[in-house]
Amino acid sequence: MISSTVIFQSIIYGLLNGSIYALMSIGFTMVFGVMGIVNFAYGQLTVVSMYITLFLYTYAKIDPFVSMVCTIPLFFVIGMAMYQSVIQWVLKTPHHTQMIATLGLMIFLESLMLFIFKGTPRGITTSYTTSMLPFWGDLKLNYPRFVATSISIVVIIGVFLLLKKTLLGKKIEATADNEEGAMLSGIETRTVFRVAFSIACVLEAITGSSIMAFSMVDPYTGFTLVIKAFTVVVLAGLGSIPGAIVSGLVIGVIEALSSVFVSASLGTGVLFLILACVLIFKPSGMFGKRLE
Amino acid sequence: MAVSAFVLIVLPFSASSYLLTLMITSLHVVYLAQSWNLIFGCCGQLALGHGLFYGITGYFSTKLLQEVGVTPYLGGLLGALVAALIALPLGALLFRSKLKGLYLGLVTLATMEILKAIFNNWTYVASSAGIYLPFKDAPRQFMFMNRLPYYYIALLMVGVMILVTKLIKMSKLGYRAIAVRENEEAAEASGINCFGVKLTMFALSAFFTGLAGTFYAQFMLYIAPEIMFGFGNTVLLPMLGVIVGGRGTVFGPIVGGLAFSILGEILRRIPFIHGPQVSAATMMVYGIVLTIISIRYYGGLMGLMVHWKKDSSQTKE
Repeated sequence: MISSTVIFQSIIYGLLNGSIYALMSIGFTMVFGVMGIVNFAYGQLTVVSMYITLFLYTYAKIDPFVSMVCTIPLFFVIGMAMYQSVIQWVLKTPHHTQMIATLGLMIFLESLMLFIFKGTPRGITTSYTTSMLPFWGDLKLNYPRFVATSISIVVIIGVFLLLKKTLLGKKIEATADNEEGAMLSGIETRTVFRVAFSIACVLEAITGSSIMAFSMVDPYTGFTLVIKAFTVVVLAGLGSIPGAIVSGLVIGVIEALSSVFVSASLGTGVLFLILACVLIFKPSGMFGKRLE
Repeated sequence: MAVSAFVLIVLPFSASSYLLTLMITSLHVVYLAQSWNLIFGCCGQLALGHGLFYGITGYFSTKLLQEVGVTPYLGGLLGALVAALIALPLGALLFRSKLKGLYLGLVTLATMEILKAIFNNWTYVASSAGIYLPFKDAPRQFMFMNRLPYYYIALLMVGVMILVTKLIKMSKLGYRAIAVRENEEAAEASGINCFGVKLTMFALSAFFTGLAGTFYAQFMLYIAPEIMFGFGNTVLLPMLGVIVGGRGTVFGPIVGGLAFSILGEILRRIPFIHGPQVSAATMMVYGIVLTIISIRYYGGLMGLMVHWKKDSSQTKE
């Protein structure tokens, strides 16, 4: 019999993880909503950011959370470069072409990481990696996960303010809503695309640096991450940002509970099962608009 | 055409064992590319989970050989039939709910990953440790001490697949499949049963992919979930072959599959980098090529060839 403490502890663990999944997925879903691009290389960008964080920690002793100062501007530039070199050419192509093109990017980044850092999983051990914060009775919060969750909450609120309150955000929403209409009313939609894509990459940089504080990384993590992002986004309904937050938390909790009740190695299988069932039986997701 | 067939038949007698292994694995990739070409190239359906059929057939024939002693020649055929039988309800579910493009790719990929998770935890098939077959000389059991028979079987499989692809492309089914690929609404409107065409092509593609699973099991004498249901060797390499060679053509997958094997071999010769880094470097090049081809040269190498021919004939006139 599994005690209730274990269950509650794993729910908390799932919520903490889920908030990071939400952070990871809102960029993905935003890019889909605005320009209809499915980006397979997305998880791999997180891995690149994780490796940069690892590198900074190993050689310069920079704290993972501080290294965001470095990764954020870098990833804005990487996003621009990726848009210019690949994404802008596949904007108007069918989904499977986008998928194949970005799959190529994913393979490239994955092998690049494999080439530089080899295949062994690596992690960071900081002074606070294992420290726990008391939370409620026997329940405890893992300190780095808690910090990562706080950061993701702040960033998610930031993204909302950006989209709702600034001129740029309004341009992004207008383009997502009706590209031709936006273009006719004088919005440079290509610039909006480029900026939105870069913002999504920056979100990946933040996710990567936060995950690195408590997790191991190897070059193949990217594929798992992009499938998680897919599951979150599909469950939410492609393009829905508030939906992605809710379903990120849901997926986090399901994953944590399934590793308690079923087995950790079947955990990914459970995620894939959710992904398949949602796509077959309710492809518009929980909060999605109709599918074309 | 005849010359290249002659070369392929005679060449292995003078080839070293290393070269022969390389040729067998290249032919294997070519064959997988040809099988995947049926569903993606001819019918335009992006199915990303063909490792599902590859793995099921490989495990099926290996288990039959181990437990009952059924020869893998028969076991492979039966396994491939099982794969096709699994493809029918799965395909029916997928195509009934009108999944297309991205969504179809994701669900097929997810199904493969679920199977991988199950096989990784299933003790009857030795879970993640995998099954080893004994290394012995038993031609009746599809096991040879020499590599030559494997080469001819692989060559035969590719030959059969050329024939199958040609036959399908000449038949009504092939024309209907191309109509579905080009414009599904128009195809449906002109009276084609799109659902039936997609399902048939999916099952055919599953059947032929399955046969390769048994070949692999008998050639390597070792199967494990990470290999048999692995994304890299069962989905990615065939995909590279089809897309780079030219989707939907008879010879595209052959050109593409061979091009990638040769490219991998050339990269292996580069000095200064060794071991696992070589394969990483190879994959880097594969990734770039895949991206460039999918953005710029939609028709692949075969498309380029047609283009050049047109150009030269125009200048002659």
